[in-house]
Amino acid sequence: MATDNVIEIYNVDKRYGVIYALKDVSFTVKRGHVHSLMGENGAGKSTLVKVLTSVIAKDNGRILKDGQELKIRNYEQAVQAGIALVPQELSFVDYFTVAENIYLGRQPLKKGTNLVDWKKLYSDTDELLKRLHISLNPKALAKNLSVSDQQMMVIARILKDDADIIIFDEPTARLGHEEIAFLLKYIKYLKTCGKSIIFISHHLDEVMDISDEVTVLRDGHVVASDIPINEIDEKKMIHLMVNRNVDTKEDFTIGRVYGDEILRVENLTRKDLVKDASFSIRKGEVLGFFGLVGAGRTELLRSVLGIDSKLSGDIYFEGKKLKIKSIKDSIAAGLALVPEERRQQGLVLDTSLRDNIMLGCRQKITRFGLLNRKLEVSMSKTEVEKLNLAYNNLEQRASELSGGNQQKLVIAKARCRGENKIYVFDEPTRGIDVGAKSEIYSMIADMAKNGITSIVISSELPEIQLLCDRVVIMHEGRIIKILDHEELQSAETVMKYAIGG
Amino acid sequence: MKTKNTNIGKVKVATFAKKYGTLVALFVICVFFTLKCPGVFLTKSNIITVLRQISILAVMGAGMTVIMIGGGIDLSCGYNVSFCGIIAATLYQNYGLPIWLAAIGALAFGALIGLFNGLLVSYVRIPAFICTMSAGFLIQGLNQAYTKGYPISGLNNAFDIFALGTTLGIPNAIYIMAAFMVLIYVLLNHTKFGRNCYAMGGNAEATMMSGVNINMTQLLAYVLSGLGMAVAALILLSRLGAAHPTAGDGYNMTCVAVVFLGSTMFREGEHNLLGSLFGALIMGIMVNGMTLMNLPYYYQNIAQGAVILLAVAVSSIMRAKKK
Repeated sequence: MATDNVIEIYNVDKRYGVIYALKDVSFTVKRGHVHSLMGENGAGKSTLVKVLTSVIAKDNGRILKDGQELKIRNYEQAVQAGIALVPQELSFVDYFTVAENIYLGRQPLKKGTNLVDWKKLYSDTDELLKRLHISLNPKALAKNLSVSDQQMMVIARILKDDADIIIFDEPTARLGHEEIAFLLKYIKYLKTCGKSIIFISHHLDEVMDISDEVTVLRDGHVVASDIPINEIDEKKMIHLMVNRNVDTKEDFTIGRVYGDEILRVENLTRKDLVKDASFSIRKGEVLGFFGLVGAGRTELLRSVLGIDSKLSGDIYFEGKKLKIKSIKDSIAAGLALVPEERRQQGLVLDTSLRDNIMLGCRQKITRFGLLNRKLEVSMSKTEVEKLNLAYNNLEQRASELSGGNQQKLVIAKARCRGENKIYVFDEPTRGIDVGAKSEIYSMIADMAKNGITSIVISSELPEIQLLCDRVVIMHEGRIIKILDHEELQSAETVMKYAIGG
Repeated sequence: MKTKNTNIGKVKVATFAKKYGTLVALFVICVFFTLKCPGVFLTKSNIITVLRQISILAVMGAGMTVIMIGGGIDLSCGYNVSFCGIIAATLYQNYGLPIWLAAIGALAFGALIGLFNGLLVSYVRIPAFICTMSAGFLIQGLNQAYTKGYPISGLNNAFDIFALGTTLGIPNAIYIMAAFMVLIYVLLNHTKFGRNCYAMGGNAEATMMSGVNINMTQLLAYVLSGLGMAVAALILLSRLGAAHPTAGDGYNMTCVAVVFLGSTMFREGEHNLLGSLFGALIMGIMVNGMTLMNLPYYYQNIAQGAVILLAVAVSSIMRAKKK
């Protein structure tokens, strides 16, 4: 009766409101195989992992384990059923030892007492690590380990529970080359032990190296499932990942004219990640920044804007060298940021729309330090109505708005200052609906026509293709390539550079 | 249709309870004391007495409100008040300065302690709780070392003007309290600094990324609050007629409590100035009423603790329900 299929997924749907995060997803994981899930950012891989481990509930469909319908309702039950996740963001207690972290919540107790049996804890851990072929000191503090060792510690914690299906969610994202090689070798070793692996990575070479089968997701749909690895190559995989319907595509760059160079960044290097980045942008241009998670796009722009410090590098604005020590300097020069995390970095959710909009531009309208409420109301109203923001009244709290309207509010706040010459949009349409999306695209295009420059950081390639005159492609902190509007229409080309090619 | 109406009604009642529940409690307390102490509690002279009594706590609470709106706290405020009183008295008695100069000296000293706390909290980034608590020990110790624990008396009623003196039959302390309240109200609600405080308390990162210098805003909040503590010290000095090295110590935690109590009124769980004033009023009325009823002093502590717990518990439950 034993089936070769350890996990079978049939027609799984996951809906958020009217938007499908996953639609009709089916694939099969074979026992003792490595099955890779591929897809762009936002294709639905993480959602799928969460559904598999019951962190979130599916709306429809069936999941079978060993031929039996899987009935689990939370992550703990998933672990009991033998499904375990090595998450992208490792979670452990910094100042506990390796042994304590591995046996967290399951510390062996001295017989008949509630006292922790420390001796047994360490000897058990020693034994476990030996059995798993992981070389870690059980008494080392977790915070003193390298990222790679921390990951091994988390893996040991998971294997302790005898999981037979292990999901790795982008495990190589923060590792160096040798560490990646080691991890891949270890995953192959797990395979020989009869474990089944679901592997998620952006790096095609890794996927080609260790997978037995591949399933490709795009926009929440499965575009190809259970392809044996010898029937596919990297080029085909990229094609599957990015090829999408283009029927509603509108080119926002038509009729754009640029002026002279307005901003030039030379050899910017940060303490972390970003190395030797140079680019320039002309007045009225829209410049995209594309790359995979961890490519260093946000970090580069944060250093340009003075939010984070830089080790070296120069910034020239309108031909003059600009000294930027803090974000105040870049704001004064006319650079405005619409940040990535609008709820954490963009808005004060518990205050009114008016207070949010006026937050950055009060110095312009205070007299003798006193606010001019009438002017504030009329200025906020103008900005809000220009952006077609749906609201009840200006004194309602920002938290009451929908995601798309909150994003418009962040933009209204940035625009209220009035004299901005360059806008930096970091993931401007993440998590907002299609309508608001196209309104934001039109707004950026309109500003460009009026000579206002924009920088758009985005993980959504179509967005870059619609909006940008040129795109800067980054990989592991370096600028790999700058493509112009024609070149960047080829998703294959862009992805090739984004994965380091 | 009918069910819809009752639902709206329920929501309205809940909103009212959230915003004004504590005020209703205050009203009940007042009715209780009026019945228990007929002809004594609800009289013009007793009302003035209560207002004079709460003036110190209200001024301190106003300063603390600014800090707490900005997301901080000051656990050294009571010790600041004690030391400022000593400074004013010393400047007057030992250095022979005129009364107004001695007062200005005390104000400057209070602001200086605020500056000290503010620098450590904003620029050195010590968590406000631990920073101001330690500063409290420090200030208290320095005060004791300076005075050797002896009060400074023999001030010949020189400081009477700040509290005991009256204008149009009303003690000056009440005017000072009102003026300081208006000042803080205008600063909080009608200046860039005030709005930045609210924004910083709501989301410091977003405020910083909007180009607001949050370190400076926080520093100013502490300086302003320190100034308030000095104002309170002058009223206290005037009322006692002598500077006692521990005169303000007892107000330390009460002041924090007043602001928390205030956050249960008017603004649904947010610190606000009017709430803090009413918080001080609740504290003052309870002390006053229980004194009139001749209850032993420890009942006051029990009642104060119970009222704060009750008010905050009710408002926490209300907010949890909202989510």
